[in-house]
Amino acid sequence: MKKKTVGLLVALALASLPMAAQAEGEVLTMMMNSSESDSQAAGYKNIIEKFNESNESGVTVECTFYSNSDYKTALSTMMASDSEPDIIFTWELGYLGNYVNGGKIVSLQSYLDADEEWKNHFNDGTFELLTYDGEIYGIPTQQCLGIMYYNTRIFEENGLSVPTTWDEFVNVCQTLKDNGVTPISMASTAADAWLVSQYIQEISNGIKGYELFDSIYQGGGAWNDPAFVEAAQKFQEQVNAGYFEDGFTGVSGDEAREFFRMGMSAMYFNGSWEISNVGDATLSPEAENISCFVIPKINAEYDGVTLGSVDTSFAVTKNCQNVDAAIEFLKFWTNEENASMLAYDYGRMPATDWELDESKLTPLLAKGIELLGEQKNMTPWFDRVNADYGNEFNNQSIAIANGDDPQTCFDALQAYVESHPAE
Amino acid sequence: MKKTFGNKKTIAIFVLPALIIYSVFALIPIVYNVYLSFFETNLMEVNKFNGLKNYIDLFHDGTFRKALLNNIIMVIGSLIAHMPLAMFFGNAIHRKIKGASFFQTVFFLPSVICGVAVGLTWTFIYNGNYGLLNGLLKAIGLGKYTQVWLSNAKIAIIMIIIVVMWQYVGYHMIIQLAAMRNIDAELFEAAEIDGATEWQQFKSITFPLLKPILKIDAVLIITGSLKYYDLVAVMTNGGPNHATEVMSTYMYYQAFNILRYGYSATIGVVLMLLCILSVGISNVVFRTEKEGR
Repeated sequence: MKKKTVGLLVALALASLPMAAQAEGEVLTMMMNSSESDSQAAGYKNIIEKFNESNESGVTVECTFYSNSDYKTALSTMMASDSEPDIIFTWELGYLGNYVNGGKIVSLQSYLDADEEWKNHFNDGTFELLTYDGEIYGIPTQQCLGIMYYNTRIFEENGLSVPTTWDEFVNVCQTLKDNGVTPISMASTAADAWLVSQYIQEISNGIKGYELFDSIYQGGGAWNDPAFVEAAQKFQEQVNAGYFEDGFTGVSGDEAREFFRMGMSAMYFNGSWEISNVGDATLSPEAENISCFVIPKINAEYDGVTLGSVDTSFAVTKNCQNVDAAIEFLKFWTNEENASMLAYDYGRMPATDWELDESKLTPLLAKGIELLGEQKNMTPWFDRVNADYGNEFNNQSIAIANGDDPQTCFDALQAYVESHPAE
Repeated sequence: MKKTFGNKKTIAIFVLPALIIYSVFALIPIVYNVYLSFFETNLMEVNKFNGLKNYIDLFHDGTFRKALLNNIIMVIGSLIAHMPLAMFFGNAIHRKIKGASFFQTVFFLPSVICGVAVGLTWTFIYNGNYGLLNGLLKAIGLGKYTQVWLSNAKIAIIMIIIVVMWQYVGYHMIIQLAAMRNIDAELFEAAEIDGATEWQQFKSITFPLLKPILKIDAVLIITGSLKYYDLVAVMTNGGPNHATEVMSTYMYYQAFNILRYGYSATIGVVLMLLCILSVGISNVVFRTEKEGR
């Protein structure tokens, strides 16, 4: 009896010992934010496969894909338990900043300095958003900006052209509304709160320009700045005028996109990363008719100050045993061939300055890149600057969409920020 | 028998596996969580002993108070649905109304469906554009009351609690029904001979004999409502603007969205204390009842 029990325990103990690691070439683990339903996921997999076929370091990259909502949870859990993969997808500013401050991320400054040619291919200002204490910690691979997609067919049918001033923009919305067309489709459920806040942020850019963003970014600015309140009031006026689809406060991101793709609304506000999703002819009967513009500024002097940032950045963690191989992989990802493949086939705007063959770009992406080139100053999303304050900003924006008083909401936000000082 | 179980080593060997699993997944995390709650930490490098600061902050945190209030509303809503209502249905089935077993299955069914599926289903029902609820209101001429149910900060939590009430009423009905079936049928027969009405039978036989089970049921309902998570996470994720935040979703938000693990642990400790408190209160009530008998 006793012998048997002891034997059983020994067997259990043996079974729970870790299996000997397989010694089959070195493996770099990687985590990517992209789900199977995103058309660009295939492009990302393609790059990884090509890299695995042959590379100088003789390593294999194994990538796990997470959807946008799961990604943050998965990474923060892994970071807290010291089990993060070697290469991670990351957002810029405060998001990566948390992990840099936590001593989790390898500085890439020396690797970039050692290869000036690689470094110089990145567009101006892209590294700034991934620099902490004077050192670069992340590699930006794409750029993005907040744009208004519009349906050229619906615009033509209603005798409208792309608005160039705020008044024209309001006019376009009103005309569409009068003609019984939903002007803008937008989502504003809790998971899509950032869409509403980015709309308010974009309007505020046209009221006070980069100065407003900078005052919050650098500290010293107030969230109940009259410019934010005015922007929120403008937004609320549009809500009350019925420029957004009926019951938009309960519409999810996927539904709002579908409204637009099916030609049920004339405009759709989102980021340039949606180019591949709204411009995909297999998913949208209107794909041919879709183009985009930047929402005109209320004060014309702030033209060129637009919501935008870098996108799909990568960082190397301290868990990585072979940083050189990781660097080789990142160089491969951002080389001319792969950056242009992602642009031609998957509508991703590269953060690097490779000559793109205009004839291979879809008209929508070409337009997007043109708009990007026109911008002078980009204001990144506040929830990327500081997740805590940014999330509260998103929340208050939802309250404003639901009809709460903008002044009260921004006062509450300012009070929250004051009572939760950042370290 | 006595020889085997008198041997302390044997006892230890048999108890050990369960004890190890219980310790690894319950005891150690609880202790570690209490420890964490005194720190300001993102579980990476920032690790600052904070004393009771997290607890003090928590009681000044408007969102936490909102979450706590929502939990209390949920406890009240659940107590209403899962005690009197469940008892009413249970009694009806116990009295063998027509189709009793059919109703028993129908009422019990929602509680075996997983919370996520229930949440999604009701999200569709509450949808502003194509939701069943708005459709129903329009069909009966109450179109002016249609709205985007889960986006209205004033009523969203009530809409969620209605789903919780619906989902678990059958579960508690089954618990109470099982207790009713344990009551000796002779008691009812004797009462009937004495000419007691249905109501008198319920009041003087069923209810008093149900009391011990109701106490346990109350503990289940209160602790369940305090730590409720899945439906809220699926239906609104605490939104709009924290209007439907409950303690567990707020705890999750603090930890995984803004990396305040220490503060999140504090919420966890308070949640645990509230659960223990509610169990304690129920136990005290239980004991005095027994002594008084």
